[in-house]
Amino acid sequence: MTSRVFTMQDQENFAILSGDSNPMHVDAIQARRYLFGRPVVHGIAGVLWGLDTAIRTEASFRLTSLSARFISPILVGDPVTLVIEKQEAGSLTLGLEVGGSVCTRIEVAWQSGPDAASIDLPNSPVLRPIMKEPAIAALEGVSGKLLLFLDMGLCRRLFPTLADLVFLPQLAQILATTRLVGMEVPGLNSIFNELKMRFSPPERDVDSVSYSVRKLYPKFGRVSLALDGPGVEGRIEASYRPAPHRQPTSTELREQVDAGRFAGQRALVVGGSRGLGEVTAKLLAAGGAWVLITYNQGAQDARRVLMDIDESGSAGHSRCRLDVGSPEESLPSAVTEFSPTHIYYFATPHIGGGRAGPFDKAKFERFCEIYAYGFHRLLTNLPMASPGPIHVLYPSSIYLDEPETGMQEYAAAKSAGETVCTYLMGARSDLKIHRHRLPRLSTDQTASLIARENQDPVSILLPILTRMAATDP
Amino acid sequence: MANHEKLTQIFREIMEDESLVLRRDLKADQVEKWDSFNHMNLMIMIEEEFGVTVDPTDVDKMRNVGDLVDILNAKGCEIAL
Repeated sequence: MTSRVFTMQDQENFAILSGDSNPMHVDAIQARRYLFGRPVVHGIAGVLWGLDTAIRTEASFRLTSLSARFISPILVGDPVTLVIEKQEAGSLTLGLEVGGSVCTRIEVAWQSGPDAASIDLPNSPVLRPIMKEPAIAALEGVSGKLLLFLDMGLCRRLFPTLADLVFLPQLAQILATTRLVGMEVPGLNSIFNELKMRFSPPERDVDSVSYSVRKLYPKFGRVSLALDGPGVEGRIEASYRPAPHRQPTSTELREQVDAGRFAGQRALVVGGSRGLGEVTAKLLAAGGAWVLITYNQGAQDARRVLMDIDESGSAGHSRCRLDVGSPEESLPSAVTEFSPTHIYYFATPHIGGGRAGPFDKAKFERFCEIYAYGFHRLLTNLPMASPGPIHVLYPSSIYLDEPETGMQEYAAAKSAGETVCTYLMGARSDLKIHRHRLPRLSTDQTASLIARENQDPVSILLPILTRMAATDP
Repeated sequence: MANHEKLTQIFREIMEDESLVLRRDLKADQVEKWDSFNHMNLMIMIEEEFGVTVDPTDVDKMRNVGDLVDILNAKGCEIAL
């Protein structure tokens, strides 16, 4: 067995080699808003690492077939283990495992072949690949051709065995498949599910690979592609993944909120750069509150939210960075000097979901760091300069009442947070904490490949905010 | 072929397990290859083989094979399981 961790530098290198610079692979800030919450290793990078590591031959070879199933994502930073599941002369079945679960399964066959001494392909693309974002309905009958390129210097650094021994045009063709899925079809909001390639001696120079949309399943966001080129034919299965969820604009929300509903509030919205925090910040501003939004990584998102609020005619709000999960960081002066009358705590790590399994202590700790420790630290360290109690919204979860597969650690951490609320209110007369077990609401965090019935955040949050405001003296 | 045999064959083909036996309380986490990708493959093949339309929100509500069978029987598939 061999293990490694893919880093962001690995991602950048592979993006150059393959031409697939989809942000889900190379942009940590953007990737946090996508389905998996963190950058995902290119599936084909894992495949080529597996082949480069496991194929043990000293003679040049040519692939005859390659199949890969991308069962679940390999995230940047996670230790990946290569397992040889089956080995015969000229063929291998490999598994790439994270945490003991197979994420990628690879079947490959090869035979001895010509020397890969030289390759008559450009070192880099003639034109820089441009990210496309086609709607699935627009893919009917679509076809195209990808010109191949191969940076041999970079290839030797990343995959030394393959660079020396494999029939190099095949390597260029395999690399083209991730560029096809990640940049063309489906493009921006894509998931590479499965690849099947069959290779034969090419009848002409290998300079390109053609593709065509074979079948579409719009209801399920599934695209089936046929591959065809000199010495290769195959199939790709890909899916659309949900785009970052767009919350209503401030202008839209102003129609639902009385102008003075939240007047007089100095509202600290922790985690206000997206999701429920974003909706809350916009509602409060629409109702006349003075809002300070905090963010951890989403500086651009926070700026976007404030610009949106500003465009609706409500100015004077602000943002600042705050990492509630970092005990060594002191509270920024923008927060301590704000003297909030109301605190809306929407800080959250990536939640995800998952299959049933043993209780994951590390996952539970990660959630508690924000939902319990971070919450307690904030309320303990924040000077409460306002007269009268500070009203705090602590959003808990319906999963405490209605268990959901894969959410036990999240629910347990929210339960711990609720207990923190109880103890804080018992110890401090200056705090009034409003706990609400919220249902599934439409945000990036609840995005799923399988359509789910999520409720509208505004319909749930606005009554809560209104009731909180009604308890103000 | 009876419809429950057809459904069993679909599961066996997609999950790549010729020994798989369907029962109403069988869940995804009890079948090795029943992941989200294969769940979609199941729905696609069921639509094609049974000639029915599966609502994506119904897909989310399925907790086990029994839920799936009930949804299909509501569409007239007459699967005895």
